[in-house]
Amino acid sequence: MPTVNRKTPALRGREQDWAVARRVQDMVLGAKEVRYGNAFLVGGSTPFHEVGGDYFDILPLGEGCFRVVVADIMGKGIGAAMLMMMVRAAVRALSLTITRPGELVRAVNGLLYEDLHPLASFLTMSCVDVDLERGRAVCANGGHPYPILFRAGATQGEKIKVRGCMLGVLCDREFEETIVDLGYGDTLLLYSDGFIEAMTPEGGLVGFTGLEKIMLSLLGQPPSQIIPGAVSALIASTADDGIRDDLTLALVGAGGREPAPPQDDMVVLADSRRVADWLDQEGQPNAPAVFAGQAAAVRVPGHPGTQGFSAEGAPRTLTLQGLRGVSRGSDADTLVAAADGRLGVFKVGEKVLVEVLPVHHQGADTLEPGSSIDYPGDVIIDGDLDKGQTITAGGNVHVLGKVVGGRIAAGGSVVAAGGIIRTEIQAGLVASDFARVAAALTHVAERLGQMAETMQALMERPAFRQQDLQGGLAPLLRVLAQQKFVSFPGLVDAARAALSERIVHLYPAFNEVLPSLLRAWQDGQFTASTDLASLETLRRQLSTAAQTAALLSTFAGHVRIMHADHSNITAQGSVSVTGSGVYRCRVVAQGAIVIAGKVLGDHLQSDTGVVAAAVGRGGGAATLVAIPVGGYVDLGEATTGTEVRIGSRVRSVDRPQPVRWQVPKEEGNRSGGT
Amino acid sequence: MAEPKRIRWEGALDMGAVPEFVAAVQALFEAGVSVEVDLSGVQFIDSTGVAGLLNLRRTAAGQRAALRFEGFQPDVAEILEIMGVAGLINN
Repeated sequence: MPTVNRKTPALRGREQDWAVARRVQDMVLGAKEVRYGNAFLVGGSTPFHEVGGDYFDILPLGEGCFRVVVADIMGKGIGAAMLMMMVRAAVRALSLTITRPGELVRAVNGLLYEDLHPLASFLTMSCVDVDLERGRAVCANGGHPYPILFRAGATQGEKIKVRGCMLGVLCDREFEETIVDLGYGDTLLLYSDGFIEAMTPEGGLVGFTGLEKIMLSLLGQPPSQIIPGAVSALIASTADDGIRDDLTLALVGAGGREPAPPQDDMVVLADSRRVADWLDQEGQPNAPAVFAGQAAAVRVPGHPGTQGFSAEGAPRTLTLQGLRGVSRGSDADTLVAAADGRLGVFKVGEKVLVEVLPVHHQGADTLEPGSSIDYPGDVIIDGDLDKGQTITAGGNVHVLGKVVGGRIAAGGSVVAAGGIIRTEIQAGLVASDFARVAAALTHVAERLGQMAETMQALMERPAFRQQDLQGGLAPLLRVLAQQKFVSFPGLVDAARAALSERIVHLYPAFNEVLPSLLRAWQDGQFTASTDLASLETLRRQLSTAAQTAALLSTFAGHVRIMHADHSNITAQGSVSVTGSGVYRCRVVAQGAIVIAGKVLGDHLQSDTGVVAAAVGRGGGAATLVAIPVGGYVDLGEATTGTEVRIGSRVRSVDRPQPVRWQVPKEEGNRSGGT
Repeated sequence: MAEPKRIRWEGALDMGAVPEFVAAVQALFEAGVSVEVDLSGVQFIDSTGVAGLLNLRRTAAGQRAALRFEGFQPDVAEILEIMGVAGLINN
């Protein structure tokens, strides 16, 4: 390697000797490169003067282990160079038998102390034993600048702060060791202080940060180019006389196996629930809204908390099958919503589909007269929907205008900024599906439970031992018929008919257990132990599904409009009219009906309650308000002829007056009205 | 007891300056006299500087002179720490 600085003393007669010394050093300090599989070790030293006081070595220890040493002998010139040779010989000889770096530094100190001490000369040494098979390094240090570890892909280095006194100061010293893991793509750097004490043109020192920056820019280069590259980069960043010492570098680039890509365990971020929880507890997720660029889901690879659990408690991992409307974020572990919309997570077999249904945003003027939109997510129509168009949406519908002669069917809520005329609105359709499903599932689950209990009781009677049961189902069937059970296959068909496709495949028992139960029934092979257990499992699963469906049936399907004219509104949730009122409309809602304006000639039916400012006739017809027992009616002013029903009780208003009426449930029951 | 002798050093304690520094401090050594060396003006020290401090410590012990170094600047203190000699400079 060329010298950096040619400020040599003009010793004419000794130039020959210097040249010889230089040649010897070139041999021992020249660039070294060792390959081990896909790992590498490189080292090199550039003396400041003709001959230097730095030393480095890379020694094979066998079985993928190497000892890397960098040392800095105090002083300059021929004296330092001679001591350097002694250190080198000591390290090499002692390494034949000494297996730990801390012990090596201690032994070198012990061996050379008697030579160093009288010369008042010291040296610093860093010794690292790397095990490239197991991927780790043991570091020991005698007063030398700390080794630096660059993790794969890191933007800064870590100092390995292993401490120890420099050599030659005290005779008998222990040297501590620090162990670091060397993973795939990690790099370990040893160096001499010539690098960090070089001066920048501004008068400061290159320092640890400057060295770090130089090395980060060179990691990933072919190994043989790293050290020359580092020396060039240092020269480029220093003042003309900035380099004042020998420059020594030794690097270990750990190889190893690239880690296997982690399983796609997901955590749903949009509402902080685990995907597994979401799928286990809910048939159809209560899809949270997400916004474009928002993290929809975050992958936590191999994190135990993200594993799902089957009904039997065994952990299972959910694998991502597909993405729709989401894209990978800037780090591969995050899925980002590609548009504003609704987040959905669906199970398809054992795989998971994550999708964001973007909001469908359309200008009303681009909707052809009489045309329709059918979309599973949310829909926004910008403008007046006044040409007989139809909107069917799985999510919410928002019309930024009025609706005339239109039809809107939404799984969620419907909002119209204007009024509606001759329009049909259905809100909360999805919810109504679930209410029906919940009822069916509950029914089936209860029946199955009763069936299982009956069978259990029968098992315990002496007359019905296991072989009797297997021998003949007739007695059992007789008993079951007496209990007025529907036939088992009939039950199964009823359940299937009631459940939506999406829910059915989420409950493995339904598809796995039922066929075998059916077969057992048909073949007369119903056995107590296994089939009862299966029945019980099925019953449990269906109960859970029923609870889920019941929960989801409270999904909001509200309607909010300015006013309504000659229209039909059906809502799972509440209906609220904020403007002038309703005229000749039919409004049926499970939630409350609240009308700020006038109700004229309408039919209002609610399972909760009706509130209106004023109620009167419209187009010759009186207004009818109907609620069940337990609901409430609050009419600010009702005209003559207005009919109010609570359960089976009827009140006909005989003169204009406010109507406030409520029938508590118990009272209604007692008087027999429902 | 005689008054302690004080000396203040300005500038880097590197290869060029160390011989002069060591000579200047050693000249103050006298049995039974304390020498206090103020290093608050030293912003940089290299290995020869560290060696110089250690050697002064030894020489002082040999001459039974009391020696004390003071005013270590942070960069200097860190280098002494890394080299593991911080405790030895002022024992």
